[in-house]
Amino acid sequence: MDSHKEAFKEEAHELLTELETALLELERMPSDEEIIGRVFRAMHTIKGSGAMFGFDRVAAFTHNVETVYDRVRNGKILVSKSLIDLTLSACDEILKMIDDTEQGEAKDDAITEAISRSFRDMLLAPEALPSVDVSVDTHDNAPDDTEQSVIDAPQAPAVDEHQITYRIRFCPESGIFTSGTNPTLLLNELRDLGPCDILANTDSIPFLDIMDSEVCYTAWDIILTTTRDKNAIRDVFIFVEDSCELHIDVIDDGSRTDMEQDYKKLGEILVERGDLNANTLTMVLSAQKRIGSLLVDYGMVSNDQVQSALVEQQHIREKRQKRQAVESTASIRVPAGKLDDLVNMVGELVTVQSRLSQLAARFNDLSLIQVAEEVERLTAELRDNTMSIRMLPIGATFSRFERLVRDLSTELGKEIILNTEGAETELDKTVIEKLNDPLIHIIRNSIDHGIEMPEARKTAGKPEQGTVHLSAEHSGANVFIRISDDGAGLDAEAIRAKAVEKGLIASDVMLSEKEIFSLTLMPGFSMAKNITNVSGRGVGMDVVKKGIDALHGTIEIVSKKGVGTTITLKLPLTMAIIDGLLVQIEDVHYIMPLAAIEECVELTREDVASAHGKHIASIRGEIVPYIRLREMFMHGGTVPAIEQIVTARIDGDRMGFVVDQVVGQHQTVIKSMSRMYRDIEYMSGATILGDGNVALILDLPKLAQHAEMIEKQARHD
Amino acid sequence: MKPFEIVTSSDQTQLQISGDISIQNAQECLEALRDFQSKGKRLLLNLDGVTGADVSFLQLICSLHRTCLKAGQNLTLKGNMPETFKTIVESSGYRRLGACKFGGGNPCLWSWRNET
Repeated sequence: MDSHKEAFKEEAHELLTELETALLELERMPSDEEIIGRVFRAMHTIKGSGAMFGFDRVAAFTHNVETVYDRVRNGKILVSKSLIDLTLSACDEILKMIDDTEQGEAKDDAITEAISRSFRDMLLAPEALPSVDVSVDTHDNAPDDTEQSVIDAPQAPAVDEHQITYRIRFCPESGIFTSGTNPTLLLNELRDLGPCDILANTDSIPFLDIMDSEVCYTAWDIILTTTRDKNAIRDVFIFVEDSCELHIDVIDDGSRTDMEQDYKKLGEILVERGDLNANTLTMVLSAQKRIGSLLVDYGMVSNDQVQSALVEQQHIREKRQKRQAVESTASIRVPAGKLDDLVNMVGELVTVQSRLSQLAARFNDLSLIQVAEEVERLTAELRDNTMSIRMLPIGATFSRFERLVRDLSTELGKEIILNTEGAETELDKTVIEKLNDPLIHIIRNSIDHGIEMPEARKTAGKPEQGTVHLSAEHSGANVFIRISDDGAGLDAEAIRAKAVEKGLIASDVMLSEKEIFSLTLMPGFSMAKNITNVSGRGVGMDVVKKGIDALHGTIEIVSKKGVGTTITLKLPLTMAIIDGLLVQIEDVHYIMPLAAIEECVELTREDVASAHGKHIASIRGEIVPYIRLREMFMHGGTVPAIEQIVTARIDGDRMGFVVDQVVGQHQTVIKSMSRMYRDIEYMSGATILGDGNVALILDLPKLAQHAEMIEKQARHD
Repeated sequence: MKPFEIVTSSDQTQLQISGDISIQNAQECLEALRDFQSKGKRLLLNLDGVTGADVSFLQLICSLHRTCLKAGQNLTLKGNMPETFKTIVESSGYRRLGACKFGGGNPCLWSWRNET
């Protein structure tokens, strides 16, 4: 596939995502013109670009959908649930067509034809559909022959979206009313071409005594911005061109912005310099007449002519300002692979920089140290900038779930709405990509097992409509994603009994509520009595756990029976480069993620002796349990007289990790471990140090879990 | 209900217009407006019952307004203009922000602020 086709495919995927979001919004707000416009524009772009890049089936299929939404835009077709359903199905088909083309196939299946037919039927039976504004324009409801004749033959797409602004002066001859022409209808047709400002010139209307009721005394000045050419405008007046004066002039070709108008006026500069008082300026300006008023006073032009010119000025000014805003926020599209390469290179640079710093420290040369520090500062900035380029708002993922919730709740006969919060929260693109499946599983579970049927909810005194709330927020180097529902909640006793029945836990083991809920994350665990299309096979939450583990994240489940469940996913912002704390045991180095670290304190032999063999330390009056990594990783050698406890906050609890020495902060490029070492617990990756040695990155939550398990086992024994 | 009905009270004369007013009944409308304009100093125009109109009607109202201004009569629109009628005025390009050349500082009948 050539690069243009590839670019279209990418763009189409984005447009379809946007389209789906817009359609779901439109279902909630069916008369919102802005949303209708978004749907229409998305369809228009898919059609136009599709035809340009050889996706002819896509262009032909989208044409009728676009035409229907053009009619929706003009108030000739009303938005209904069935129209939304049909359009969502059309989106799915377009997606399939694009992917089929990628595989070199061109399927022509029955679904596509059925959808096409439904849209065609809508266009061929306009009288069956209510008009929004019958009082203004009853003639508009008549079938439009021109439009119908091109239903199956898409017009040449408007590939060039270049907007031109025209000044149109329309002076009908005096007898136009008696020929049956209603000028308002012509003006409405112009509005269909693009945003319009229309001003009637009424200067010629006489006094009542000499008024002729059948004469048209009005002329019109119209400022129209459109992508269409002059001929399209002339076509509007085709039936009256012999009985009117028509002037069409281009007054803005779409290339200029409002740059030249942005400097201050003379009065503003004088006030700013303190040479003139602001009140004096206002007084002097109010005494001075504007040019329009002066010209009217001199009888050179009429008020209507001045107003018409002002409308033109305002119209162009707004268009240019908009254009400038668009240009200033312009962005470029870069293939994701290139960004990955960039991050890898920055990673290598960080490693080399680390070596340079180490060498500079060893040689103790002041000028070399200065250069090394400068390189370190620049590398850190480069790293942060590069990482920020890979950051994407999680909102795009959220919008996909709206469709999921809509479709599943309909399938299950439940009424559920999805609320989202924090869509602007940014996460590394790799994390976002891998988050999709776990979130789908959690939301499906909420809908299938969490939210009750409407009758059951009513009986329980809840609103019939259930709610799933999806939120995201930053906290330090982590992102918290919460999925809450106001459903039936989890039954801790039932889960425990099921786990015992399945042999996952011993019947006499004591577990906290949090631990019981965590059992639902174990492979093969399911509370569903029936297996449905949606869930119940006991693979869902296991997949969630595996997915979140792979992202070095954690899952916490909080639930109250009858009230609802909240699942919190804690994820690292990025999986590429992190700030780490370099520690040492004997001559082996380890990295701890700095975001989790609270402080480092000394641990002397006296402290150890005073704890009577227990692994606890008193840190400023607080008892903190700790893990001796030396013992855990079976390092030999001699324990130093003074060790270091590095304390970290894990799931809200404080935990210490004892090491020989804290070396210092270290920019850590995370390298994944080879397949052979991938299943090693307690390590989430590795990094290369400045001297070329490897340091393993510790997975602190896993280490803490391990310690808790050993402790429990010891108590049980 | 008659399309043009004049109601006279001690202090003012009201013209109530109802139904669709277009080129079809423009002459009838013109005559009604002439009659109305001749009735007194304070005139009240009630467009609440207008369900449809075209440019010919808007021209007639403009003509009435400027005739009244010339004659020193006070012509006002009753209450708020109905939304249907506002749409007609707007789509015909008749909506104004200021006065016309006959206004002499008096606001145009077709000017209103958008509600925010």
